[in-house]
Amino acid sequence: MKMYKFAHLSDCHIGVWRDEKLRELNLQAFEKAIDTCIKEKVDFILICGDLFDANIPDLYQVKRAVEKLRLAKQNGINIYLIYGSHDYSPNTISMIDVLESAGLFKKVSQGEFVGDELQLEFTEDQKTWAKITGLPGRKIGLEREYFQALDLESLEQAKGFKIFLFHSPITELKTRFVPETQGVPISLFPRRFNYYAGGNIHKMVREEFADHAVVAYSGPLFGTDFRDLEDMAKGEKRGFFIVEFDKAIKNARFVEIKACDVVYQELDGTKKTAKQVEDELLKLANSVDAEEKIVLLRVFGTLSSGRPVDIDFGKARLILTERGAAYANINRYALSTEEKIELKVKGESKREIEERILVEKMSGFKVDPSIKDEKVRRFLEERLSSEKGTELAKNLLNALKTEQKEGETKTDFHSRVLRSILEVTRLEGSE
Amino acid sequence: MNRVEVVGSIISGKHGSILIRQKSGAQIELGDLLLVEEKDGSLLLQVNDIAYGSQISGKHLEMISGMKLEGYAAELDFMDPTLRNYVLVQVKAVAKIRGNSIKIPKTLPSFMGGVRNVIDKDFAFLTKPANPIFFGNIRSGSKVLNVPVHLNGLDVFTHHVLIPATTGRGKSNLVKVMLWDALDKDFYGMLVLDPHDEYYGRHGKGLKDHGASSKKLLYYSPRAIRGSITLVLNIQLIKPWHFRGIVEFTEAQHEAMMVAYNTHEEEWLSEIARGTKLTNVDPRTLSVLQRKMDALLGIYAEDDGTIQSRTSVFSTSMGLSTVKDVIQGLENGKKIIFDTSLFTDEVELLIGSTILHEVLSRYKNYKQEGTLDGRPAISIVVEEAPRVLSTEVLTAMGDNIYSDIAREGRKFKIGLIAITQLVSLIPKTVLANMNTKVILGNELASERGAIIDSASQDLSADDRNIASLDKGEAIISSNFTKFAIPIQAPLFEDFIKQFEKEEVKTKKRFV
Repeated sequence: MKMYKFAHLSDCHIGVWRDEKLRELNLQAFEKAIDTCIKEKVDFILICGDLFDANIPDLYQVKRAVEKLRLAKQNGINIYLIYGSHDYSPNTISMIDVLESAGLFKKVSQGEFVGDELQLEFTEDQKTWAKITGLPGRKIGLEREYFQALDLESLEQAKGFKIFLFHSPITELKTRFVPETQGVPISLFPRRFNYYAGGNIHKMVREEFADHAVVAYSGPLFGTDFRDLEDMAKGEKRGFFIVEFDKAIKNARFVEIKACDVVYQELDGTKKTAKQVEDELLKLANSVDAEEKIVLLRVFGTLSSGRPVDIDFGKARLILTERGAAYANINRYALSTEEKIELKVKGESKREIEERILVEKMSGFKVDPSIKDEKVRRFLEERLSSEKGTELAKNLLNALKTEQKEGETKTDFHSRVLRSILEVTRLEGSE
Repeated sequence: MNRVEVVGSIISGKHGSILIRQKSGAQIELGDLLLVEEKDGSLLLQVNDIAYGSQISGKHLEMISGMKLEGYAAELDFMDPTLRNYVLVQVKAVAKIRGNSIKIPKTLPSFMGGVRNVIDKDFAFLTKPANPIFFGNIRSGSKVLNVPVHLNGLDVFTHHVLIPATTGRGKSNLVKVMLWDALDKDFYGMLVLDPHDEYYGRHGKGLKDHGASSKKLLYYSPRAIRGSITLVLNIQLIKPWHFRGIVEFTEAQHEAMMVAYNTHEEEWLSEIARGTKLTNVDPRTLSVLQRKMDALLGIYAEDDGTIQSRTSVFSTSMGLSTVKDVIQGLENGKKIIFDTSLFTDEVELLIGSTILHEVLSRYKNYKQEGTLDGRPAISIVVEEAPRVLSTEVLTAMGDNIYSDIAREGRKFKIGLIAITQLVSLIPKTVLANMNTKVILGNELASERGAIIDSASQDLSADDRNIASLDKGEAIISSNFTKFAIPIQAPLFEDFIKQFEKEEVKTKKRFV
């Protein structure tokens, strides 16, 4: 029997980094992955969500990505994908839709609601006859509603080699950082597929359940934030799966993509003066193996005297750049001092601190007692109390952080931000 | 007979034991609630014994019955029979009612005063409290009134609840009704360790049928059904102190566990399974620990050092977020069921211990930060509570997280709902901390004695009442009620019918 091959990629997040160098490295990781697929002569490629980091990404990044996708097509490789939580918008067209119209790839999350049941259709790959279907990712785990509505029977009864694409953290496999509400338990997935190709979790995972044979997350090709890069420095591999199959999976191997080496070092400032920490930091910057590497330094602890602002982090970064670092970042969010009032909220990244502040603030949320209308009260409670409120605030904050793109008019920019806000608050158009 | 008619008259007795002569034709039952109307309000009485009374001496009665039975005077009858023979009813005053307020009665009702059956409006004082939780309807004897009994869930659940009953008296039904009522209420989260897998409704009606179940209920089970989450704990989440009071270890073994944890942190169990040497730990101790962990958790190392698990519940790759998810769920007021029906007692209690250590520690932090007030209370349902709260267990193995919570949980808004058939095994100090008892029928006199001794109200005269409680009938004795309230918990399947609604269909869109 003839053997076939497919590649399973996810979370490419093209365009995610604000820093030009990191953005380029991320894009290069994607290009290397597609080149490897072509070299390996895979029959098709699966992209399990978040090909782009936004529904309308930076056009230069899109151009480069399209060139690679087209090259794959020219080599006879079909590409199947689903939306992720980042590259989809319920209110406006997404770049994914544009590129699909151009015939670069096919979205396999096809189906419709019949009554309360969501009936998915299979897309059959004409070369291998593999049957592919899946569910897209949505913001704040909204895709769970789709899973709950799935008509499992028709999917489970279909014959052939079946692949299910998804962009959701599986509750049983998710990391500690993913909120409880955003997981989808494996019991909501259709059973007896040959391969479950996942996206969303930024870690390579391969697991087997009793009724769900091979469940895999390829993880990102590079990473989308400093935590991802730190994980790389700590040994987390980045890449994608190449899976060989005939009637069943024969082999699934992880192909590593190394866009750049990452070095991560910590410096404990506890019980030290600002001057001592600065000296140690500069020494570290001068000694660390920085050449052509991403260097991440984390300074933490409580200074005995002096303030974090007294430390010349800029100088340390300059040393690293001069010593040839591809990129240098010094994380000092967890550094405080005994000299001033302790920060009430601590975290290892700006994102984490923001999240904790929001959790803190939203935990005490109560509907204004002067609002008497029970409907309004219920609506507000449902949207703003507990974790939902935190999620909403977080997403709103992210929507407001959006920057004007080069060449984008002010009006377009305003209406784009407004659309994002409406989408996040679910006040118009969407569910 | 019209229920508001007089059914008896007070004829003698003393405070706590008043005697009533029952009116002929009236049928007063054990446990009945009666009312005496007084000038300054009314007095609520409860029947705790019933006996015959007669104006004719015993010898004469024996003679008369003999004559009738032996055919000497078949037509013989008493003159004014209803006047000469009657029923005497022993009652105790349980509450003095004045408008909407009630007090503990300190006076006797009027001598020769008429008593009547209670009616719904007599309980106008039972208003719905804040954070209400439904337990059942007021019951007078075996008659159920249309008066729902709600208690303040925050008070009741944070001050621990004990549900004592023997098998078949309706404790699971009662807990199901309580959980159903609590399901969509955000002011507390509940963790149910369910060794019989009876609450979710895998095979019939259960909490899964609640309209809010998709948002407010999490069901963890090792046996997957649609919507369930696989009950799996990553071994990295288990810490040496989670075993405290649950699994017996020698002091040397416990110290070795701590050394392993201090050396290898989250990898401590893996390293024990690999048999990695530990400083100052006797290799024989390590070897025993290795075998114990294998037997208990099914964790072992392959020849190449890879850690494997024989069971599905402890894993090296899955379940990393289980503890965090459960705690987040509880803090969001969710009700979480752990189907532990396939596990040994030790494994079930260890899983609970792993979660509860983190819950207690987190809530202690909230208290320290001053943010506890805004958080929901957390309640843990434990079946067969003596497994963790009995004198024998506490003496042999010392305290465990469950007894810690029984002792100090209420300071941190965490409470236990302990279910047991054998109250007498639980030490008085623990029982005294259980401020609400929902007492169901119990035929064991020694158990009734233990229940009565630890009740929040004086139930010394209620032994017969408790013995005669039928399925679903209960008495709530609580620091948060002025008197011990007799209730009837509705049958779960009947109770939930009122919530069945035609779902409004909306057109859904798929992208």
